[in-house]
Amino acid sequence: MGKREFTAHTDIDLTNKDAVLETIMGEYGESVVWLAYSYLKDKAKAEDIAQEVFIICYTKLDSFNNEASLKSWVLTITANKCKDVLKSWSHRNIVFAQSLLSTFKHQDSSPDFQLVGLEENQELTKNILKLPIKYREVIFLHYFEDLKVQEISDFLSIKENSVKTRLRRARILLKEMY
Amino acid sequence: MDEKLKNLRVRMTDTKAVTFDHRHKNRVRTSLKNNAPTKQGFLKVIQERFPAFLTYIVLLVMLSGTGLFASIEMGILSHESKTAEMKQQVTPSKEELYTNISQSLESIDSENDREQVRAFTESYLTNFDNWRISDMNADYKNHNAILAQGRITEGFFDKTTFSIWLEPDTGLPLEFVIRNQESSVLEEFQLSRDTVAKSYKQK
Repeated sequence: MGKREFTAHTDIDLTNKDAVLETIMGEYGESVVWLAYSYLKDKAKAEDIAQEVFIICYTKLDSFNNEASLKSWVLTITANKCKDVLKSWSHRNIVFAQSLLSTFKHQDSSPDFQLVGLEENQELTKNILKLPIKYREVIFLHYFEDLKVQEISDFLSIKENSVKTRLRRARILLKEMY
Repeated sequence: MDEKLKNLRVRMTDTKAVTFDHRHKNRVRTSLKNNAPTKQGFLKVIQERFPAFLTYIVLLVMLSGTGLFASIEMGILSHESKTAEMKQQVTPSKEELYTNISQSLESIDSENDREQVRAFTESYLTNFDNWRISDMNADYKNHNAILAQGRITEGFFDKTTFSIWLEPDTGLPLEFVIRNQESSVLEEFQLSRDTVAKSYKQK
């Protein structure tokens, strides 16, 4: 799936922006919102980011390099947008305020997940979201998006060995959580 | 661990932690149609930037306060310094007031009055610990006056109190009263009307 989708999209008429929008929202909507969620750990923000990403894609479709994969382009925009949010002053301020609040309330500072489905799946999702971001993103890209190490390396602009190291450490950390 | 991570997409989406359904797609379409930012628009911008604005305002207030305090402390703020100087002028110290009283005695024509005031001043006002300036704007016969009050701790007048009204500019004693513990008047002195009138005329 990953390999196929990360290759160039040749069957879409890029001049028809509305059609492209419908295609990418239909095909990559889930990937985008989950990627955003894996970065931000906030349902509302992830959904907002996903919407913003598709608006950006629509408005900046002219700048899309047709040689690249459309999905790769969309996910790169998503990742960059999320990283901007994480770096933003307001986000850090809110996170700090929440952690402060949780300290006073003697509660766990991790997000309040409202998950359904199998308990095993819920636990796995929670544990992945507890990982530090650099491990969380490689786990997500490798296992959720089925990207190969080389693709992750290109996507994150890091060395393949770094991707492998992060994946190994992430698995160890996850194992320790059980 | 690899086993658990297999089919991660299926496992995670099963939790429905986050979704991108027709509602979200419609919002994107509507936003693009209206050529406006995603839902809530202006409200969202406010929500995102309000904490920053609030912090800037608090920081500004704190910095202004610190700057103002530092300026006052260092005497840079001329207006405040002048006010302080004026306040100092308006509120003389006990030493200054005592000096003024002593100097004003020369303006009392009646020798008897002058001696009475001198005796009072030397007996009860030399020890600055025993008296205080009670009111800088006391009323004395429809004129502004300084009221000083104190206690007498020795001699015949032990445990008695006194009040003395002074002309603010010259320190001229206008009247003094000594009272016992029951507030009965033990001794009373009033400067002659002529001397008081002369003092007010000179102003």
